[in-house]
Amino acid sequence: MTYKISLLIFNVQCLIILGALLSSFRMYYMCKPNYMKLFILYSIVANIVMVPLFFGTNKIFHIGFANGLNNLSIVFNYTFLVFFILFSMPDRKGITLMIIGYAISTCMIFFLLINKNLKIPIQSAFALNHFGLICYGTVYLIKIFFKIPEKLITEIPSFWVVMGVLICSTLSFPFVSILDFLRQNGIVYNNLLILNLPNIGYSIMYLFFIKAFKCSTRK
Amino acid sequence: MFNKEVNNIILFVIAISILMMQFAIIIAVIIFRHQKKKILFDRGIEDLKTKHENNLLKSQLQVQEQTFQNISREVHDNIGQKLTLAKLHLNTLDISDYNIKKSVNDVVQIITESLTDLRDISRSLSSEIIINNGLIKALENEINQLNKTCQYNIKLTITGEVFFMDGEKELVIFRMIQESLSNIMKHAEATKVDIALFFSENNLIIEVLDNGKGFDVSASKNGNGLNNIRNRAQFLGGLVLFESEKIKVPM
Repeated sequence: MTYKISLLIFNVQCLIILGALLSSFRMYYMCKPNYMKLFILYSIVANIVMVPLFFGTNKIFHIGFANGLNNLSIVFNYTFLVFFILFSMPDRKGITLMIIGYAISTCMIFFLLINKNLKIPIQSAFALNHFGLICYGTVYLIKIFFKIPEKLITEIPSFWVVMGVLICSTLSFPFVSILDFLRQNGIVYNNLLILNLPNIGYSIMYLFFIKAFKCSTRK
Repeated sequence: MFNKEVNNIILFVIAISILMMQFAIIIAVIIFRHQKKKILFDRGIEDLKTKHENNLLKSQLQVQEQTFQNISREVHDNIGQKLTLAKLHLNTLDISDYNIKKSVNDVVQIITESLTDLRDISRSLSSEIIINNGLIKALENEINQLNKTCQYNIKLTITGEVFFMDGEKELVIFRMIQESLSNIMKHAEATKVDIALFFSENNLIIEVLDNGKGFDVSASKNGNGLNNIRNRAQFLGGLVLFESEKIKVPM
């Protein structure tokens, strides 16, 4: 029963990601500001990673390849979102420090990826990815708090993207960071809510991305 | 015991996740509210500024209008009276010499013309005609005075159903058109002027066209006359557009 509900939540997440891709394609030519056009790349990569995962989770293909792809996508996910957040910040203060922070954290993610079996999800790399995104997202929020933009924040696409990232990362980070510990100690976790927290987080994030796309086409 | 520990961990994780998410959402909500407050505050300041500017403009226009009235009264009552007296004196002179009589008659003629001109100026400066007869009549009167000089061919066209505004507004509109005509006479070297008033529901569009030499619209932004027109339009909550088709630069 737990498995079935988890599968259902995962499939809904896949559907939302596909929806984000379709809406980004539909709104491509109307997107303003232009940086939102580049965001389509994120949806495309998400779908490329999602398709094998979907078939793997639904036991159509072997999940090993899908997990490998998912693990490798962390670097893209992290790089893309960090630079998107940095680019959307209202000022360039402390940008060098943030880029250095990004470089160090990316090296750590690489280190975690190459030292473990790629065929199973490397949760510590995911955790680091989420932690980094929480930090950058919080900095973004603090910056717009002190330098309030003229446009209403709910009409700024990057605000929705950052909020989506923040909600997803804050929901996923605590669970993902202890997953490796639980696994190493042989603890079987079958709590439905906690098991699906990251999936729920991702679903919310992509819904926010769709909102960001809608927002960017509003005149 | 083991299961209890795992459950505690799970509960802790859920609590941390939800707390962190709530924290992010709370920050966003605070920013949103803060921004809304700031926007309202800025809008309030902007409104106050506009109100203050309008009051200032109103006082300026009132002072200007008062000056016009004083000049008008002075021209009519003082200079006019003195010229009339001078004319009377000249007329009562008993002169037998033909040449001197002819010269005196010429002077009387000049004084008569000057009196007519002064009366026209006085009428033009006075707001009485607008208050008593309305904008259209005042404009027709002004145009007739100018057409009398035979230097200009000024035409007034009215489209739409004429509606009446309060005296103050009509006076401001009249002064705008007057200023335009004065600018055309001073600078445009025009012979033909078309004034068109388009009345529509709660809107009035005024178009003043001339066949003069044109002017550089961007260079004349700080001109006194154009600024007066702009300020008056702003006072009425209107908009002014200056357009010029040709610009002849003197070589």
